[in-house]
Amino acid sequence: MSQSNIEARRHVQVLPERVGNVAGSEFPGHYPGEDHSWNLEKFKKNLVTSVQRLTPSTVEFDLVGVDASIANALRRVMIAEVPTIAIEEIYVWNNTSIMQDEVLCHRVGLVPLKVDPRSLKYRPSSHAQPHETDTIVFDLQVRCDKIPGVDPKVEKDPKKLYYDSNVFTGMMKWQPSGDQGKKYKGKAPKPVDEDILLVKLRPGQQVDLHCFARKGVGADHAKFSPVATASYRILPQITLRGPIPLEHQEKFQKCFPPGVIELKKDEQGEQQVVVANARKDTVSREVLRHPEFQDLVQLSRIRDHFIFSVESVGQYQPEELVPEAIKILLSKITAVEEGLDKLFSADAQVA
Amino acid sequence: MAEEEAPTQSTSRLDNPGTLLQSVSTSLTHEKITILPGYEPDYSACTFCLWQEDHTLGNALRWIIMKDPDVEFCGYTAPHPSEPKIHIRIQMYDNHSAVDCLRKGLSNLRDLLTTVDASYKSSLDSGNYIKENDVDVRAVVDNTLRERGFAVEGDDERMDTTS
Repeated sequence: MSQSNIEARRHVQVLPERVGNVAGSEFPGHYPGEDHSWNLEKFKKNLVTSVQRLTPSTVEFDLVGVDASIANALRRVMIAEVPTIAIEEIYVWNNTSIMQDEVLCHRVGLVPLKVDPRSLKYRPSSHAQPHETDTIVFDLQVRCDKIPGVDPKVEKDPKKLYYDSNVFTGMMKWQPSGDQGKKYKGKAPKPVDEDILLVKLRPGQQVDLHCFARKGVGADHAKFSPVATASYRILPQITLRGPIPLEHQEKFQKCFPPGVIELKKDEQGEQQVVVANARKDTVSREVLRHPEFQDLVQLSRIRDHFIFSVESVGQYQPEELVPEAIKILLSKITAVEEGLDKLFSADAQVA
Repeated sequence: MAEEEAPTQSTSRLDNPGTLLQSVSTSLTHEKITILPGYEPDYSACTFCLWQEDHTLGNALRWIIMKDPDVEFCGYTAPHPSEPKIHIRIQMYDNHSAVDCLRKGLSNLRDLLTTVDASYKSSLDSGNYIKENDVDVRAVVDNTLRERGFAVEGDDERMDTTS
């Protein structure tokens, strides 16, 4: 098998009206005379992980050399199974705002909390007593009043007329219990953002909430998901099959997002079309709509090259999310292995 | 580690108050893994039922098991969306044991993930990537508003404090 044909297997074809060669076929027995059985050494050699960009909230990295099922498992775990802390139960002692108790509580429940999820345990059961190792308590007590001496006939701005007419997440006060004061010294639990508007009040109205935050996973409720988004796309590739005529070069360039195609002078001093950065392509397939380009270009994607983009909500540092996801996948594997041990030890006892 | 925090093994960490999972399984406890009826006595063809697993593990496990040359067939299904379980079917050539194959698959998957983890961490440690701040969305919006001649909240207050 020639090298180019093996390379072509990595390509998912992007055709005008369909995609081709979508699923990987590198399994034992598929290609005569080739060994595609699992080989850790080969995998290690082919695997490339390269972080591309890191900001306080996002990480972008390339994962090359794995199957889509592995990349997808990572993505799914980050979204649905990496735990965080969120408010689960609320005692509404008082709420005279115009917002109904349940609506206000729902809003409070969605607030992302800056608490290291690794510092708390899961609640043993839904009936268990709250414990300092599995519950964090917040109080939200706000009352709106008139600011004395401001004439409402002249001043219309509620901020200048009233105290605390807006209830923000920053007004939630953590109530340490037991050893929590020591445990969270210097990193007191608080909302990730302190400027989220929860409800608006008018003079005489008040809210008094007693909130219990617990550890949970996104599979239970999206408020527990630690990622604003975790997604991947597959690296696009643009193959030029022949020179683009000079009169069509600019039109060709305009078929792609800026930065994908560049016009450069070759050694003979003639202007040529070159693919500068296929990564920026959105694979809109615009170029395939023009008959003059149809035989000159081939669009494809590299099947095992995943470009991940992970945005953290704030409970975790963005770069921590992938290792956390891997930890959880490993614990799933261990759980199944233990299940197998138990299954066959039970079998042995019966026999 | 996560395992010691999770409640009990059979009900798993997903068993939180208010989950759909609870309404389905109420007080029943389930084994993590069982073998469905109809398996070959020598285990050369089995369908395993994994409780509280989904496509996350199912598809990854299916792929790694298909990488085993002794496997004739491997496939998985999530039989019903309201039952938190998957079925994995493994058929082996030459009367090999599907149970051993599953164990091997799990251990291979562990190796794979450990490799990815190490590779990711070394890339992160290399520091060879763009480090930048997030876009300050509020500042961008405020600037656009100012450019278009709209009042920006907070501007007058700032002026008050400076004057």
